[in-house]
Amino acid sequence: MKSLKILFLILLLGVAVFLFSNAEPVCLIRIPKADSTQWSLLAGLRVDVLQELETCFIARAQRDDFRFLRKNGLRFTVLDKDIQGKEYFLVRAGSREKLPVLQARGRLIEVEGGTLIGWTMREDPSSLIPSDVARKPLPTGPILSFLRRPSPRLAVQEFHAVKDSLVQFIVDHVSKDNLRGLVQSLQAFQTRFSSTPNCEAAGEFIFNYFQSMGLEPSYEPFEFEGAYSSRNVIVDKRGETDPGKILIICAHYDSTSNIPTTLAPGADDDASGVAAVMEAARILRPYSFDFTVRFIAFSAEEWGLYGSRNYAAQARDRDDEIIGVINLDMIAYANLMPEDLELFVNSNSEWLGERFRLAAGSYSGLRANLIVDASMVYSDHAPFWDTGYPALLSIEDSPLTNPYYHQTTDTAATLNFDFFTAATKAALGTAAELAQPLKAGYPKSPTRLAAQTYGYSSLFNPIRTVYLSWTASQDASGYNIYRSSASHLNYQKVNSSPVQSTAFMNTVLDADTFYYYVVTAVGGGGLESNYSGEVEIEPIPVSSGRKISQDSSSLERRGQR
Amino acid sequence: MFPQQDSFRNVYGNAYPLVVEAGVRLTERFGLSSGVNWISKNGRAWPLDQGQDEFRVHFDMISIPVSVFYKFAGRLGGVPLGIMLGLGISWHSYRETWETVELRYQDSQLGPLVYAAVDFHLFSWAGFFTSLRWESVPTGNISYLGDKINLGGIQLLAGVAFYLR
Repeated sequence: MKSLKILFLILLLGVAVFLFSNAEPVCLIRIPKADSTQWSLLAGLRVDVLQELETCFIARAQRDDFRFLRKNGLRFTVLDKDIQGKEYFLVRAGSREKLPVLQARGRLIEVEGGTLIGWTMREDPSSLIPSDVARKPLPTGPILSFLRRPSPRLAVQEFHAVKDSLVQFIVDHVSKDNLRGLVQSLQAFQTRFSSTPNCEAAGEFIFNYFQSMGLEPSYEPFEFEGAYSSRNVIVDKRGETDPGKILIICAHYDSTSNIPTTLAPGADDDASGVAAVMEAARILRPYSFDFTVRFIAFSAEEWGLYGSRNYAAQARDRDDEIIGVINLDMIAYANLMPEDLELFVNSNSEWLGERFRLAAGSYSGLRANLIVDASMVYSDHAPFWDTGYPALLSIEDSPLTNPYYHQTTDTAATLNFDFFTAATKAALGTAAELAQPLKAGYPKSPTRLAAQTYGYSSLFNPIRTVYLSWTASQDASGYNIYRSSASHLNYQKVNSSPVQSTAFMNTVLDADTFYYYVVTAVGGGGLESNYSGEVEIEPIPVSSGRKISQDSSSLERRGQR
Repeated sequence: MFPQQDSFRNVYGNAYPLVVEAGVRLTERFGLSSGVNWISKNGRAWPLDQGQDEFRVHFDMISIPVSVFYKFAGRLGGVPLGIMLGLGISWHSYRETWETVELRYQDSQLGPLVYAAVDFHLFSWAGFFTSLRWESVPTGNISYLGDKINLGGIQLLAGVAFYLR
């Protein structure tokens, strides 16, 4: 009997070893970007895309999947043959000189110019990546479903600034002395390195500041790296007309340095951004807006964007209607004057960058450079990109020129407060414009704008009919309908005279173009309200005759992963 | 069956070309043929989803074929007949117009054609004519209704032939 039991156990062990040895390892692959049809192909094949970069996607796939990828014309290279038990980071080398230094540490592969991917076996990433090198953990789950097919580049179009006198009045309240005082207060915590009590105290300082303004802040606690916890500080200036639509202005209050637990003043990185957010909250508080403005001070950015990753994931789960995210990270150091501001966006956020660029010129006279670069993923805007929300990074320079970056010498004394004030005005102007301040005597803007679109095709030409409907606005005697081929930019009126009903049909002839509609209410005296929220009309998916070849069993297996 | 492609037929249904052609015999067996073909058809834009609107569209195509043929004579039930095998090219000019929307597409293309024809010499001056013709009219466009648009296909033509001597 005993030998039978032993035989049974050996047999069981053998089966387990057999099953384990046959488990197909999951690989990390790099897929170079091609044309926009690649997006539908990736979605059709249900490729587990983990990261979008400027020139490629990073994805995971099993060896079984390789032939299907090849069969469908997807080129790829294998970055790592087995992802089991590993944590991946994207690393920005910053300069070509740093590349060989980083590569010499091993476990780092260049995936595109200056961007490397590296992995740890879940140990502290500081052992692999120096503190002065920006990094971002790779999302652990697929993100393709959150990403939107990129709309055509806006670069070919010319956009016009619309200067609003009320927004200018609001922006003129930005105080250089307030900004200086807030940065000094934040740097006075000695360190704000997440996981230290000082960081939590800095969070309480921000919380109390918002509360002293008569606002109602809240904490959003989260855990990171298994052993630590911290809190984002969040406060709303609730919208009057359509509060469900949210504009976020944010920065991170944690800091780091070469001795992070004892001294990390982080005046530029990123007390400057947090001070701008706090000043914006102070100034916007007495005004009323159509949409909600949400001020957020994130924590644990320096550890790997943990605060913003936690927030963005929850926002996506709640399906929050986030209009856009303005992330301010290092906006106060000027290596030369006049200094300009760099705005990093991905293709889906290009409109937001364009609005910021125009507002900066209109309200603060600051020159802002718009850079479309999906690989700039090393600050708190990146988790919003990963979850499909428009977001931008506003930063003084890239590559960084601040010699005190992540040093104990990053103090208020090294900052340029004229540039800092102008950058804050630019951000505030953008936020106020997008949230749309309410003006006395004007009708309220229509809400719940919805669109139903239908496509029709002759042999050669498709068209779309767009049926718009919205909720009536008080004091409206009619409505105007506006359309643009660029989100939030250059709307053109499509009706000749105000329509009386709350529905409208429009025919659009260009099937390959995204269209964006808004509606305004026209009052008895001819005064026109702010725009309603925007609706997007997607292009008709073109049938290119390119068939997706797939293997159902493989896909089912992949779906279960 | 002409044009044959589903994307055309979804919008316009069956089209019936009007054909006028003339042929000249260059030798005992060989000849040259040319003429004009015309298709004019009303249709309805095809809904790509659940749309209920109706958009009327109109299609015109004029073709000028030029071909060489090989002809040999025969007899069927006492009736003299000529059997022709031909090949050539055709120039096609086509236009599609939306009636209620300012949208029009116009282009022209060359395409090959191959045919087999029989004419029954019922009289010395006239007879009955039938032909089976294949044409390809690749437009280079991709339709939202299907694949690459080709306005060609197989035509079965029948009509009256007149002979000049």
